[in-house]
Amino acid sequence: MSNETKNEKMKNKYTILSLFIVLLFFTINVKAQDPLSLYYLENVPQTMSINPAMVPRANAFFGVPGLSSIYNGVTTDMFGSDIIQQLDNGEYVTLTQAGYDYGPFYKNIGKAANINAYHTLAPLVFGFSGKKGYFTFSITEKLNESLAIPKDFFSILDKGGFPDGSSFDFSPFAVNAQYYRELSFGYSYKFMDKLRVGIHAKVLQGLAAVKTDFDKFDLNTGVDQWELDMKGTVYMSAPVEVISDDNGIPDSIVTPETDLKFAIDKGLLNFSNPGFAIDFGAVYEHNEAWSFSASINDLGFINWNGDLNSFTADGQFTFDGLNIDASNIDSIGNLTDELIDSLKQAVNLTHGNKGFSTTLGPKLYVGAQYNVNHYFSLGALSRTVFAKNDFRQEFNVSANLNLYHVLSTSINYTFALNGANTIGLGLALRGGPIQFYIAMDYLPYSVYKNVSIESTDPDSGEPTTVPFSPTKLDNFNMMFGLNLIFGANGYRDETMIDAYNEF
Amino acid sequence: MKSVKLTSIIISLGIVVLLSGCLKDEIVLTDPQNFNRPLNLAAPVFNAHFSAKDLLDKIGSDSIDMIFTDSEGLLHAKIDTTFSKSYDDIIEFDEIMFINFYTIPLLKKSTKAQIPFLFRDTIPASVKDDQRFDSLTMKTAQIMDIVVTAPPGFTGEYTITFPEIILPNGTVLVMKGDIGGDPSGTTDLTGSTFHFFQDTKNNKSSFEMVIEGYTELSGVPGGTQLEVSTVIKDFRPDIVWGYFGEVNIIDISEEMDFDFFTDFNFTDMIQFKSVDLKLKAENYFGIPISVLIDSMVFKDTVKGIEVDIDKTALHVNAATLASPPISATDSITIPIAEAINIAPNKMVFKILGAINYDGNPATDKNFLINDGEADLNATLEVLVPFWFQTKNYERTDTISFNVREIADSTSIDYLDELNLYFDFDNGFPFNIYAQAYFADSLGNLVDSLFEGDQLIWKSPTIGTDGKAIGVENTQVNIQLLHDQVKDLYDNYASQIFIVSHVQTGGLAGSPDTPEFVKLFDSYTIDMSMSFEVKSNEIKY
Repeated sequence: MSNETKNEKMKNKYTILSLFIVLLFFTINVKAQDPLSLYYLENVPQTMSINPAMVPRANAFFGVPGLSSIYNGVTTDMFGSDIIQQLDNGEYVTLTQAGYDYGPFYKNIGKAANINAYHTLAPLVFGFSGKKGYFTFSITEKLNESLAIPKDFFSILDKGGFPDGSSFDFSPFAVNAQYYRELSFGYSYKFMDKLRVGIHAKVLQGLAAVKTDFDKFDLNTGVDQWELDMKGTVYMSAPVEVISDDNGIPDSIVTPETDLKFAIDKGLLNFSNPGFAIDFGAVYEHNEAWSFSASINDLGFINWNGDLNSFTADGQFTFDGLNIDASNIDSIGNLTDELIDSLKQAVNLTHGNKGFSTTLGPKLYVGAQYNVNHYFSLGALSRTVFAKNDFRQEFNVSANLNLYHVLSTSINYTFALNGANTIGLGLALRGGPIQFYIAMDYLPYSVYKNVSIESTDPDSGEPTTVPFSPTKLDNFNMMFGLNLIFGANGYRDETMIDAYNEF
Repeated sequence: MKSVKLTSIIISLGIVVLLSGCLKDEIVLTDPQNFNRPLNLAAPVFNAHFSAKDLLDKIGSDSIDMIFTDSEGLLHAKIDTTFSKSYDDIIEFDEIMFINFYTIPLLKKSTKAQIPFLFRDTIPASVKDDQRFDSLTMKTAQIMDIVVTAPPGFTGEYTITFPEIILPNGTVLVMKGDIGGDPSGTTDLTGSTFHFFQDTKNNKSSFEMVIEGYTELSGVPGGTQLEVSTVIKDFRPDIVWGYFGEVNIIDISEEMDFDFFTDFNFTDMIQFKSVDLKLKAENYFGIPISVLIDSMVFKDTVKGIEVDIDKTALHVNAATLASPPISATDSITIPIAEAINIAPNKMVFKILGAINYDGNPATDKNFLINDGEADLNATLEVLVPFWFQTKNYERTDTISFNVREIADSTSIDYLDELNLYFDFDNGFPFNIYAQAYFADSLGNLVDSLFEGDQLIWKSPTIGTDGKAIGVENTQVNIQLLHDQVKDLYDNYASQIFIVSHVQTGGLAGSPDTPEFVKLFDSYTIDMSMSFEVKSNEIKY
């Protein structure tokens, strides 16, 4: 196949260097998290996704295909502090501007600023109460992306560049992104009067993934020379082709044009990246007023074996100035390309086909609920998300109103260590068998009436005004869906509590 | 009841929390897209390596073709002009077309008897009276056409003989035909040789034609005139021998722009040790030639200075006949440093040239080969070896440097200092002192970089032969402090004039005793540059 033809077939081309830069500065830790606001919406079947022991107060349910569980979320620790600060002179400044204090920002992000994005869609969900427990099944498409931006990246902005004698550690940089399909088989069983346990066994079908692993990524800057020390690998499992330069060094990647056959082969029937995960959960009803629950979710992994590409860099590069002589003085612009080529050679950038595995990011939920009466309860919930050499801890308190026939609602407040402290809301409405629910954890708590962005450039036009802008851009998530609820008054073998009975 | 009360309290608290969520006032962010934090940068920029020829190329790229290196590596500039003359400038031949009528004698006794006839004629070949052709050899595809036309009523035979034309087989050219038959005859003269005689009547180099034969009447004669025409079209000899006269063949008067000093930004502050004017000629003609520089003046039209060069003649012998011919070459060299050191911008000259400048027609024998290649090539060249001295050659270069495009005013407010570090390893035999002036777009000076001229390149030791020995290191650190940079910013500095002074020989402080130095292609300059920008607390 000629290069021209090949190029025609390739839709997009990205240089390996740009890939590294993107991966370098936009990395993610992919650990999808369901909304905490969902936890105490007792008659919403999707609570099972958080604690497999929990079952909806219905004999059976069926999620409206494609609409039963739509979830989009973004979480970050970047903006837990104010990204707009007011100086003593009353002027407002942001990250790029003089006077902005990076101290609170650094305290918030630690070694790296994390941005996580989740997208979930469930084409098929159903469950029913059997003689010996509650059975559920779901097929869910999940796309999780995470990016860790090293603190020293922001140090560049903070310091105004690269001062003499500075060292930058970019090794916390990480990107994890994975798109997979989850087939979940769930079973919840009450084997004592007060204890219900549940399990989800999840078969995973990996579709595409990117993962980084940097042991070393140091940059030392000085007047006389800059030194880059790099050791790391970027793993990919995706239908792309790697193009190498004349020296055999990977230069760019191209993605093929997609069609129906491609979508079927690489999407629906792609079984080359198998995985497995399991969730455990338990609910203990201590008495009529108190109940306790716990679950650990997403204990599992995906082995990526198909469409593998890996890019490894292991070496040092020293820059002591562009080398100019008579042969290149009139084409200084090309020196940049030569510099990049030298860099790629110095760090021994190589292309391989290493397989890799990813985890789903285990999460531990521990909760307690105090039933004030049959329709109102107070809840406390802890969530710990485990990541490589790190964890994220959140505490949530809630007030939950469950008028089982028509309405469930939860108003809650989340406190995250080094993160967002926000108000959340869960709401479920039922009319006949149709149930609509929505859960959001991060309602804007404090907003500016207007954020007006002006330019002193007379040619820039009118100022841009963003109304009701959150003062902090911590996190956002929203899960909503439609279910069909059957037998909402009780399980097959257990009549539901009447919310209006004497407590 | 108790639970209802608790519920109410919690709901009330929730409402309070929601209401306490602030709706803050409008805020304005100005230019968040512009990075205006204090700058702190330190980095190497470049390492440059240039040879002497590289630098000459950069400063005089329009004339770099002038530069060449001799066998010792010394760089020279060469400005030359060439003129040439060819075979056609010396001799010429017209097409030979000779037509004549001859009267056929008639016998009264018997009209049926054969009547013999014999006619002789001379055909001229040369054009110019003062040129004598002794012989020539014809090129290929040279055709002689003859047409013999008798009046009606005649038959017979004719024979035309050209005694001076010898065919390649060594025989004399003879052409025969029938009178009353086909009147035309053709002969290929390729390789034939003409041996001319000098016709004293018209002073032309000529050859003879002899027509003989007989006629007889075949009816009533229509006349008595026998017409004979002889034609050699496109008469092209290969080699011509003879004496071609004392003829002026070159007369050139030119006024040339002398761009050397302009292109290299040289001035009369650069004095060259040795500059030669060289006139040389390569002669492929078998004729002695003289080329005369009749006049030559170097002019600085700006200052109105002129220097005349004396008349000088170059005599070049005739080439030697061989295959190919062996040229005769000669040249003369005239020192013109005095003329060149006025930094002329024009050169006016008149060149004359003649053949057989001292010839003797009786004894001299010339030859010319008409092969399209062998000719006379004469070159007039000014050769400037880069062996020079200067005590204060000055040049000014302008660099665009708009402070306002580099830094924001807030960044300038934070700036403590800007440091530029230069390191030079100079292998060139001269010192360069420089000063940099910052100016606005109108050229108004805002500030200068140094208090006085700063030594940028330090000359290495110079040997007695004018050659630099080794390299000399110079480090130049330039520091611009906050107030200085802010002053440049406030005054809209947008360009830098770099004024450089070059001195050959001696160290700083002895520019009055410059030394002559030579510029070899082995000289190099290595430069490196790095910079550091430091900012700290805001400065007002």
